[in-house]
Amino acid sequence: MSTDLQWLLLRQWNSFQVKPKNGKTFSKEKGNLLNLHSHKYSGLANSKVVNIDLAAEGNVVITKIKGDAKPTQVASARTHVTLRRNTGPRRVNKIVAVETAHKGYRADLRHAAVARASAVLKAHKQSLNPPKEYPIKVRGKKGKAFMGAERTEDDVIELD
Amino acid sequence: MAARPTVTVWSATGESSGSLPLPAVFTAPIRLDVVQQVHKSMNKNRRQPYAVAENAGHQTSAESWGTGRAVARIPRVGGGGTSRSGQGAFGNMCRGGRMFAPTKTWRKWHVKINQNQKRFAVASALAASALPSLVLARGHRIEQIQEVPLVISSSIESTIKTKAAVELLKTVNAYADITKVSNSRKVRAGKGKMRNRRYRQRRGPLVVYAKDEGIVRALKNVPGVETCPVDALNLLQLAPGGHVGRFVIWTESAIAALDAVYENKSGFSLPLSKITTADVTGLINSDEIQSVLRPVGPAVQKRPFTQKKNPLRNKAILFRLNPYAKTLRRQELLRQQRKAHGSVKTSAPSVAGDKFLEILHSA
Repeated sequence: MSTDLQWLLLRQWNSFQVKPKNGKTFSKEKGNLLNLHSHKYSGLANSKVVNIDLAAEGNVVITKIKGDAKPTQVASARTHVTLRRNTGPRRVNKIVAVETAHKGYRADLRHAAVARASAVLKAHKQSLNPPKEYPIKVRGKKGKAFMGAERTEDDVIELD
Repeated sequence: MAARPTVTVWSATGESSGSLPLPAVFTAPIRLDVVQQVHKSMNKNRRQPYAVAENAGHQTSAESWGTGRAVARIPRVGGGGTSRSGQGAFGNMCRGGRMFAPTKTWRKWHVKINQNQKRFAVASALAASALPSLVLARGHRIEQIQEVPLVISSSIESTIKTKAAVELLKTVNAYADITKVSNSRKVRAGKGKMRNRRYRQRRGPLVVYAKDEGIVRALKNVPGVETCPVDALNLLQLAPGGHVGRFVIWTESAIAALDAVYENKSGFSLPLSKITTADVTGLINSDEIQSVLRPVGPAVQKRPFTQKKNPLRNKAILFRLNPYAKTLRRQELLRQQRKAHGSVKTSAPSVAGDKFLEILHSA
């Protein structure tokens, strides 16, 4: 069955879609680079799909559906490219762009794929070293007096 | 026409052990509207009648007080000595009254469904179960399995132990879907809890067999797994909630029997797609279409957001809108030129002739 027809069957209802109260409908299936509920970005209703994900230990995994896969194949239709965690971000972006757009695969997704790879790496980086929390800066004499003052027990409000 | 697609048969140990031609029913058109409508009607056919008691709200001897008592003319409970006396009764707006339009046991609970419509819906649901994207979209975790429809050799029909059946589901990588079912188990909201429907959970795979030699009992206690014989396929199982794309696991003999099952249905022929090629981009890019199209012309640079020009002041815009204005202007210029050179005939307005004046004054 053509992907056009498949999209018509998936468009109205599928288990991945997220409908906000107002605004765009999102979709959380794998292979949807922008997580947008649309035919172009759908990870289900396309014969060529690119998925970019973070695997264990910070490896980036690019998953593609093989061009010559039978429409009934599931796991065997997919190929994986794993980029080790010591691959630099610019090289990751380069490889993602090549994997997505070269050999007539999905040139229309190049920009989205690179953006997603960057976002995945950035999120990973942030989870490794979360932003430092700084103590509140005290300004002026009064502030210092307030912060330095010894609290009596009466001042402390206990919450049950 | 292309060769008939085949489907791989997997052995109980997870290796491919041959292939079968895909039964024709898997190429039936998928009509969501038919499936939904048939499912809705079929779902109604399990209902049990309910109604309020026939005499509910009428077990009092209330009568209206009539006019003149400065109260509404609703029937009121008679007597004294209790708080009920004098209160309104019977009406749907009254406390203790009957409900509006009391429900009756003879409501139309069941819906007749045309048999061929039911068969059409089942064919559609089966076709949808052979498309990975639709099965994924229903929420089944089939990412790890090799192929849909998933066909396993017939030896599994004689599985007796649940443990062996679970092991089998794990070898064909179908167990992720059952894990999903286990995790989804929740206590039901509402009264159903006390009516033997305590928990609700997702649906797992549907196992379709040709001959039950123990598989039904082996799978009975696996969460979310349902079983069904191939000659009694049910839309409620193939499209739960009216959503097509159930994850179906077939035994080899079941899928082999499917063509025969459909041939034996008298008065029913499998629905065919209205068009053979529904691939729109493929059609547009096909040689047949492209060869008759005009070649692409040179690119035209359009300037979409230019400033708006006033045609009354801007000559070029004026002439584009009204080509005759150019002629008018040229004529006018030429006339002025001739005037400047003195070549314009200046015929002074002549006074009336003598004869005319004579006649005029004579009267």
